[in-house]
Amino acid sequence: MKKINLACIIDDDPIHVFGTKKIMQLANICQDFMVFHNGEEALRKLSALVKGGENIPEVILLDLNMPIMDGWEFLEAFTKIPTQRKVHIYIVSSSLSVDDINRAKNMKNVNNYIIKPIALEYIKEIVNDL
Amino acid sequence: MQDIDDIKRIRIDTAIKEEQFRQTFEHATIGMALVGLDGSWLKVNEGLNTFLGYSNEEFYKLTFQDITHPDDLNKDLQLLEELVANKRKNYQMEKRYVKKNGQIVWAHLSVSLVRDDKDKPIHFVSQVQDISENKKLSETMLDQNRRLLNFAYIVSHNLGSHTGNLTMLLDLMVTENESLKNDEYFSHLLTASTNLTETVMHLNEVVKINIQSLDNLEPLNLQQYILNAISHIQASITSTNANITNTVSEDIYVAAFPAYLESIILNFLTNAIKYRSPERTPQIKISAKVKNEQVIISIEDNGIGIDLDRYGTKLFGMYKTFHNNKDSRGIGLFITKNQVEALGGKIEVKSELQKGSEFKIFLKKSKKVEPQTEPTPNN
Repeated sequence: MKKINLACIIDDDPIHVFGTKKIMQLANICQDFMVFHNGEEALRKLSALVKGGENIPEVILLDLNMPIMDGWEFLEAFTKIPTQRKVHIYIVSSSLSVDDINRAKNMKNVNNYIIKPIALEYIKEIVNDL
Repeated sequence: MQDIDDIKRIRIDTAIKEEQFRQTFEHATIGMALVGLDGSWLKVNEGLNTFLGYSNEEFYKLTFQDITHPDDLNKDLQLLEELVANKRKNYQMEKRYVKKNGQIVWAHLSVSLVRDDKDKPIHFVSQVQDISENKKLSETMLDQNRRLLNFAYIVSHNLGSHTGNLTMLLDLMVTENESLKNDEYFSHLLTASTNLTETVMHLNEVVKINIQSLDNLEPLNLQQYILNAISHIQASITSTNANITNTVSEDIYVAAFPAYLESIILNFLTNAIKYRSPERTPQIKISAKVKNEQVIISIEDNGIGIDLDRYGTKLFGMYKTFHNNKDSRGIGLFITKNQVEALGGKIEVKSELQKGSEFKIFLKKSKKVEPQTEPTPNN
């Protein structure tokens, strides 16, 4: 199976972050993570990496409901930053709202919408999409 | 002698009637008034004084137009005009008045017109009933409904993230430490977490049903959906030797959401098989007829039946089960009922213990017929 070099998790729920990392580590899919607890923190760090020409994550797992800057606002700002590398963005949310799901499906920069809890099978699908 | 008696009697009768009217007018708890053709108050009773706060003298200086809420005036005047033009005998409307203290109140107004013997209009008789409390109540109810829905949505969403975390953590624990499976505490935790997840899922189903809008109902071919459901449960039909008679005509279209219609039919068919009698070969009859603008689907079985006297009112409640069937979960009928009602329909049930049950599902007939509509695949 392919591996993810560097994955980014943007989620304010520490348990979910812990679990997501564990699943990927145990399945030996990814060992390197960047974790941010809200959209603003992630945007600041990631845009600095892009500008500095440094290594950016291959995959971003993005929560929607977060304090300060939520997932939608992050998406809007982040996708405006020009970069050569393709970043695969997945929304990982517990929202079952049809509005949220359709909104995500209609964004060309979003690869898929995953309903929490995240499980190994979803991670495997992500790896297959790479 | 005879004539004088008659005249006397008529006079007495009239006097009694006038007195009755006066008494009724004055002591009625609702507001009553005689109103001139120009809208001026000619006579008002105490009920109206109390309701709107104006004294008799104050009333007689005003017209009803002066104290009617501007947004309700046109409608009132138009109805009044129709009354004078003899296009109607009376009219009723809900309208707002401005009280003496400036407060706006809702009233139910009922107006008729008194004419002389040459049919010339003389004055109006108005009855004004205070309905502010009712209005407040129905607004409160609407508001509470909205809040309840919002609450249910938040609860299901937030519970969802916590139960999700629990499931995930327990999964990970077993992955890292296989021997935990033999730990009794752990296995109970696992069961509790699975049950919690299921409950939250059901809650989500119910919330989802309540936020659907009826605007996008689709014309769906009933027969196709029934055949689809039958093929879906073919395995249990075969294993129970169940006999299904389907006499639904091919040209019936109902107005529904595909996922709901699928789930409704599937649920009733599964129930019919699940609650079969061990003493008989299951016989299930599916039929449908169109009546007025409705499609009535009937699903009849010869199963163990339901004691409706005992359980009738609880039949469609959440988590009510009536049989010792190991698969009974009680959520099926509850969700089904919610779905049928969300589609603007209803369910009727007839049942006799040890004889069987008949469920009748009333759904809206689809107005436009699009034969190319295919059932969506089950997912």
